[in-house]
Amino acid sequence: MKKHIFTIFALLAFAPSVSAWNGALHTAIASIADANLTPEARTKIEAALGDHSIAYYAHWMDDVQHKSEYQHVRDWHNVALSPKGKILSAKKADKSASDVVRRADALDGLARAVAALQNRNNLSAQELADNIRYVVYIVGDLHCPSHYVFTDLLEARKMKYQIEKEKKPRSYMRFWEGEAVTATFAWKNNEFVHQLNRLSPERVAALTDGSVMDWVVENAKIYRPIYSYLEPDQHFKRKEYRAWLNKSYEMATDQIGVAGYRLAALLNGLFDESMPKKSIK
Amino acid sequence: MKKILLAILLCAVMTGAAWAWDNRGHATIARIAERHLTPRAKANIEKYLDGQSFVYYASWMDFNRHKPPFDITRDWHVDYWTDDMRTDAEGNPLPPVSIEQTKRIIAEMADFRSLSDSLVTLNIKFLAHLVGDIHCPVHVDFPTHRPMKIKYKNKEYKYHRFWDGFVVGLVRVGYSPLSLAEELDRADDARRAELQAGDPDSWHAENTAFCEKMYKAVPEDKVLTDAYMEEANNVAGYLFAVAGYRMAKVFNDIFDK
Repeated sequence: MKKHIFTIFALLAFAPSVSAWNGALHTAIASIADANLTPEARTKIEAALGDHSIAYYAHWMDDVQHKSEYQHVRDWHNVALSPKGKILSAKKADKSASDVVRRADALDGLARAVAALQNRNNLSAQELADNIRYVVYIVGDLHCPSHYVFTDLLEARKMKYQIEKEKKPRSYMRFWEGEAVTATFAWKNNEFVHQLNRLSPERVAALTDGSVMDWVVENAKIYRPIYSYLEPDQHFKRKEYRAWLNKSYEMATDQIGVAGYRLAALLNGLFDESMPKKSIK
Repeated sequence: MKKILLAILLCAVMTGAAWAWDNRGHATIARIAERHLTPRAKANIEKYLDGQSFVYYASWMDFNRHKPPFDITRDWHVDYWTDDMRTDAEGNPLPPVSIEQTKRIIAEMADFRSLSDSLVTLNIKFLAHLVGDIHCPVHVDFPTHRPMKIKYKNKEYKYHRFWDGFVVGLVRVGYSPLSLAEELDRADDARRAELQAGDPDSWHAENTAFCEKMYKAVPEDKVLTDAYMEEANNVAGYLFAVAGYRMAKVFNDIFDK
């Protein structure tokens, strides 16, 4: 037991931020979702999670993906899209397609987790908890701009930028996984909830309307322009960098809130009979 | 003087854990203010911010001061002009910039319903920041502190930047703006009213005294001691709280009608 507790603390302390929103932003999304769960959904979910909230396990999928039993989740981070915004199936991708396209299987991962939760009577306690945690994580990633892989913009994904007095350039894709928000707002999850969980019921209804695929198509339109924000190997003076951040922080921060509301809608539909069910397609 | 001693005494009993006036500091001050808004003032303010809290905009002025059209606000954050211009063409001393702008905006907002919505929104963003800035000791033009560099734990900092962004976070850690606001917001109603008294000029005079005191407390070798850091931590904690209380007063006076 002692060993397990140590492992949990170690995971929390060294939570990696590989190919995803960073851990703090996943936690922020799940905290906003948690604030929007119905009491019935929250009770069932927390019972399945060993009396923990979804925020507690928000970046768990990142933490376990290196383990042999969770290798299957390693491709559940990205979505691939055609230049016109059509969602591409990673499974059906041509063998000559880029590795990042062939591994952009987040929607399939989410569909599998949602299907498993819809038939949760067949799941073991471990499988039930795991599938909830997959949903919590993947919905977060589906609202991270760098997780949208446009097949005509693969080179642009390699863009880097450098800020004066820094020795190494920074990755533009990694920028969207954290810095786009955290360079402006030094918030923890309580601040994210306080600031972002305040939309009117009408606005929330509009944001959560439609299927998961609809959300992805809508997000793709919002995220595609990010590739025009930066020149390859752009160098910034400090003040220019601050001004440049203004192009991105509001959209990136808004997406944390949007992801939270949508995650709550999806989980409420799965765990509260009285709530509308969300479909993947 | 008595007032300043009282303030310092209050510092000693307040736990000041903060990062001074970077975006976390400004968010903390704005959150303390938000905790003391009247319901009517809060509703009126959020109507102009499309439902958003003004805490979200606490550092908006910092984010937008480098590019047109808001580069005209570049000098509004401190009480001196960036180009060290201290007199007008006739040789008359220029008034402290941050104080003049704060007073101008407060006066303009007295009848906020006569202004365009966009101007009211902009002025809320300005006040959510400026009332914090006029309580930052290094935003006062005390001779020679600006180019000064200091060392703390073998690391060199510009003194201004140190106060702006690091001074207290190095002493106490682990707070976020909301939790720090809760920690610092401890004055009862009577004490809060006492701290809210005055106007931007008297608040500036108090801050000037803190600026001078903390500057003079820097050891000759410019290596900050733990004692200095503890005192700076307490001073910043006090200034966060009073800036928040006074920001609440400014907003309540404008919007609770």
